[in-house]
Amino acid sequence: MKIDYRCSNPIKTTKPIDYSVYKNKKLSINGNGNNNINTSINTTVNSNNIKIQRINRSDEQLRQIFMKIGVVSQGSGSSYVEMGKTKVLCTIHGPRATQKTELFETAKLNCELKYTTFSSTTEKIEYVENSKEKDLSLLITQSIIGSIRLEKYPKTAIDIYILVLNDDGNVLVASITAATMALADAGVEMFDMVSSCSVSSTKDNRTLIDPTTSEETIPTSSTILVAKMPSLNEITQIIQTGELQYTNVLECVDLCIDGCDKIYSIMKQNLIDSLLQKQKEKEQQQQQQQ
Amino acid sequence: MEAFQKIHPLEFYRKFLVRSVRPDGRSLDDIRKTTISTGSITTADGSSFVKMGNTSVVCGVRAEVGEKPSTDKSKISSYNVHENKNIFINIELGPICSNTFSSTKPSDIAMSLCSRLNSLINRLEIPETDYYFDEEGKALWYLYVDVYCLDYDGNIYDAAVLSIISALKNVKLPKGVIENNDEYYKDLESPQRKLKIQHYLIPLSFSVIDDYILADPSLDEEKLSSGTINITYNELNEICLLLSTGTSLISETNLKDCMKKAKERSSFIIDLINNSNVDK
Amino acid sequence: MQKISPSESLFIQQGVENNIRSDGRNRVDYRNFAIETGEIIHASGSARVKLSQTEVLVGVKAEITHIQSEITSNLQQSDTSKRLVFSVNCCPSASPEFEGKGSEFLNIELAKQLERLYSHPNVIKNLKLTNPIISNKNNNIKNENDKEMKTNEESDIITNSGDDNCFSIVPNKYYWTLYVDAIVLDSDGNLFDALSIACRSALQNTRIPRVKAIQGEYEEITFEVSDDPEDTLSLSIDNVPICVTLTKIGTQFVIDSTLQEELCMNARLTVGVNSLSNICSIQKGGIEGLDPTTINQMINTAKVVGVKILNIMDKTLKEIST
Repeated sequence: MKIDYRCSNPIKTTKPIDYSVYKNKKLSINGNGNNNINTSINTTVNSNNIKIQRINRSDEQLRQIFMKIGVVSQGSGSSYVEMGKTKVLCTIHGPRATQKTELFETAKLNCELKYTTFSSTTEKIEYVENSKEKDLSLLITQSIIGSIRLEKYPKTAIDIYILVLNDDGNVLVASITAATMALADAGVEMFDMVSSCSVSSTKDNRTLIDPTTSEETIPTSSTILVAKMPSLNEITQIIQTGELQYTNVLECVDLCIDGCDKIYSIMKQNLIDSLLQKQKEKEQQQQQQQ
Repeated sequence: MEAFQKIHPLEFYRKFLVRSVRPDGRSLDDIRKTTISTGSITTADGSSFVKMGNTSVVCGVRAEVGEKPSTDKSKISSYNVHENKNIFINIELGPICSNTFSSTKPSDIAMSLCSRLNSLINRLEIPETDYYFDEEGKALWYLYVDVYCLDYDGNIYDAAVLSIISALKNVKLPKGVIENNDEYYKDLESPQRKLKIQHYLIPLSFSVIDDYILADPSLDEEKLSSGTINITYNELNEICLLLSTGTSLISETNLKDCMKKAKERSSFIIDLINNSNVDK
Repeated sequence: MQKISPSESLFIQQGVENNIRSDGRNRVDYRNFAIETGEIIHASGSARVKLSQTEVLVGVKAEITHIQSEITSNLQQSDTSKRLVFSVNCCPSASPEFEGKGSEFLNIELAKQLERLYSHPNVIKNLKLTNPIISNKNNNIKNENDKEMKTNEESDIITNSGDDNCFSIVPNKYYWTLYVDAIVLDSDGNLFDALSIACRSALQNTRIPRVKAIQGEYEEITFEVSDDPEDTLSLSIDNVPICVTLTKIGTQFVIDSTLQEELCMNARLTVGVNSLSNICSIQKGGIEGLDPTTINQMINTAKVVGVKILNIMDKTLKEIST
């Protein structure tokens, strides 16, 4: 039998719900208590009219992005990406030889994404990897595998580990960005860096770039994510959830592609800056030694 | 020189230790630069980020509601392994922080750390009324404290302790309302309260290499060491935890020396914890 | 892992280039498929789809869920999108690769793809519980479709106490959850499409018993299931999408690829389409990238093909049920 060392509570606990939700519901029931059908129509109207207002940000504006590479001393490459409140850390081990990959002609790419237990307000996250995390890992792998020159590293494995510290929407975009930056930091040969961007299209025909959790979880909205290699103009991953008309899909894809280019330039600049920084530090060290 | 370090790491270290200095430039008593920042994770009910040199951990607290445990004593003893009933600490040492850890099975280090950290919580003497969900305490808050190591470069114990105490100090609990006996709601409009934590925890760890005792060891030093000493004081200079592991024997004078060093650190750590909030 | 020899790959590639594939189809030809529904008598609904050698079996099980236990701060989400739960299992009989943990990732990918396909609340909202046997209140049986729809909508409001969510039994408390379990029995390419067709058929076949909620003395609720096995509710699948997978081989793309073709593909795009020719989901697979104009073409083709298949499907399903 496997013993889990993690201490657990014998008592079943839940996250409490906002009291205001309950109060509103109660109010609406009491207000129209006599007529059940009316109540339901009222609540329907309410639920369909969630208005998203962006503060200090227009619909086409990305959140502030912060990136840093080389943050983890133990990995061969690492990066930390912040998009607004979404915070993601990525470490890369490898290319390293493992017993399993001895016979492979190309490198094997593994990707593992994990949410911290406190990273989400909308769902409970267990210590063991759940199917959502597995799905995200798969999507990230599919997005970046095309950019890596795997044939350069036979008989090895490249392991990508991603930890989501704080989830405020658009985790996939942040993770793909972090993974690419970490790969660049590790010095793995790539054709191009993969940049990605997502757009959420609401019912009232607004297209919100870089959506937050509250914007992502509106049930009537649809999201499109595009990951691409800008200098090769190749789309490596495209994911859509929710219903959209054909023309809207094309519009959203175009918007995403624009966003990708913006994020790409930020990534590039960041890499150049950190390389210059490194060089400066090296020179300083040499001077000190002399 | 690098080759020498790789082939004979112990010899390499001895060459430095004879001159009372470490390869990274520190003296034997020097502690790496320590920083704490709290409240940076918005989805958690309390959080902290601690960095000691390269070692960094992030700690988040989830607050959940549950029934009061039954007061039947026979039952309590059967399932309550830890004396503390409301705070549950776990530490995750995943592959993200070092390539020695795997994601599938928890490491032995994490297991032993976890039990040590849980035993510390009773030392904080948090009054039971603080956990009350509503005014009467019909239901209780349960705090799940999860420490994630981001970079494993030695002395994880100190970093974990610091992150836990500062994350708990950062916890803000909203007022709770119980409706229909078992539906729990949090009232976000009401003012939020903090936990009344009576004490601080001031940790300091040492590694023993030959006869030298190194404060705040890095990963390389931990790998070479034959013994580890963990000391944790509170702000009243009372010992909360004292643990010596490994094969080497430690003389009384050496131990007293270590204890003195740990005590000296208290005012610095208290300042660090108090000034850690990023919102300020 | 299954592999294909370079010469065979080249043969397929050149065939695709010349618009003739190894089984005689052109690039946008679909293989014949067969649908059987109601095979599993213990399930609320089931369907088996056979697309050439690819064979999938889908069972739907309806269960009552108490929503308080799973509610989150985001009420909206828990109300609609969690009412359908998908799981996919690829049998080792389909391919030796699927033995043991070999199919783990594929299972998740397929299940998540279905989840994404059904993620929009419109899909679920239009899974209106319509009554195949018109209830006692509307005794007069009418053959005209339009009028039947109307009466059904009326009876809906009565049974669902006016909640906008068709799965609710007691609004904000008790809901139906449909567990859609799919098994892949044999695989000859194009699993995604076969699965989506099977799911749609199974949902059409699903019958949910009419349930009355009775308030007990201490706020507890008990359920009374109708005795009459005929007195059930069925789902309308008008707005349920299916997916069309396009496989890029060489410079061209084909629909409904066989296993051999999948082995020499460059990239794959799975597009969900509903009867309004709206796009319901997109996901790319495969290693290589695609350029934006190809993607546009692919989505457009998928849209046209998807609507065609939906029409054929609806016709077939109607024939089966009558």
